Amino acid sequence: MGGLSMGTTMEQLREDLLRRGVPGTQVRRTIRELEDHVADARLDLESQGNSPARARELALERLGEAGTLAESICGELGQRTWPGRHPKLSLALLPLGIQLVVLVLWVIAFYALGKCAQHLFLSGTMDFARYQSLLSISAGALYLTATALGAAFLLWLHRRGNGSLGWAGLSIGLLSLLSLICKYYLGISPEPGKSVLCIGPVGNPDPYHPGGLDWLRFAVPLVLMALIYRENIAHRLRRS
Amino acid sequence: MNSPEKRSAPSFTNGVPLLLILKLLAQKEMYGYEIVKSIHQATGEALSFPEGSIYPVLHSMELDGLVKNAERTVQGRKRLYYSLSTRGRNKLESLTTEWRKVSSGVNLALGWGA
Repeated sequence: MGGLSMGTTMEQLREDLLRRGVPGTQVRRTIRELEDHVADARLDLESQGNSPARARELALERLGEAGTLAESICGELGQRTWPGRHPKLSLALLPLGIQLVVLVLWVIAFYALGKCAQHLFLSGTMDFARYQSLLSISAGALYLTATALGAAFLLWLHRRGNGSLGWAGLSIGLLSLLSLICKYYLGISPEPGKSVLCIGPVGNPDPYHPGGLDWLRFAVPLVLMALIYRENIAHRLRRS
Repeated sequence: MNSPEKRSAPSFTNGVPLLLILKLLAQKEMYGYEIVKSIHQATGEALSFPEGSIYPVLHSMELDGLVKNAERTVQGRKRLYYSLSTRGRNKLESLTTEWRKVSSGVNLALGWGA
């Protein structure tokens, strides 16, 4: 790598890391540390009698090639977590598991809220219109929050793991799809005194045609991913 | 320089970089270049690795809570210094014990005595 300048090596490394999905903050920190390292090595080598040009060349040689360093950084990240070591398996299992937890938490939270709302309605504190609004708004908001939290956790796992943009995209896409399908089959019963939750199309006014809120739930994980991976996505778009 | 833990196919040398870094940081806090220089000095230049590969190992150790970092300005330059955490000290103890066992076993096998 005798002909390479520090700027070229660092730019190559930065490109490589961003392309692989390593977070921008991590890329900046690594580059900064490597630049400092080269600067220190150059000073040391110059003090040993090397010319500035030779010292720069040796310092860069010792640092390692951009490709090797990128491999080492991504390998280190990739081996840290289960998704990083088993990207294909985690692609299917993680979204399924997270969606299951999201559903269970949502059902528990909504069941408790529904019971309170029913109590208020049956005791005459709340009228039917308010009862219905409270149920539908809170059901939507709770499910949206749970989906967002689940997606954030999945993205955090991917970020902490291998940082791969492709696997993260597929995984979060699957979560979005599962979120849409699951909510599709969970309905809210408008009849006070009965169970507030319905499984299956029963109770859902139009179960086979997702509405605006359903599409919002579908979009939330994807939007979160776009926000979290914005630097990597922007880099890919620029390259293409 | 690969961290020893969480590897699917661990090798004998996997624990070496971690052990060396922990040992060096147990003496004093250091920045990346200082760690690499100290490894070369301490091992008599016996270990050869791309120097930049020390940083992913340090970052991984930081995520595992073994080391902490702090930015300091020394002679007008900002540097990221790494120091050992309590968890790192405990890890150093356990790795040292493990390494003693392995090296005495290997020495015994090679007929050099434990």
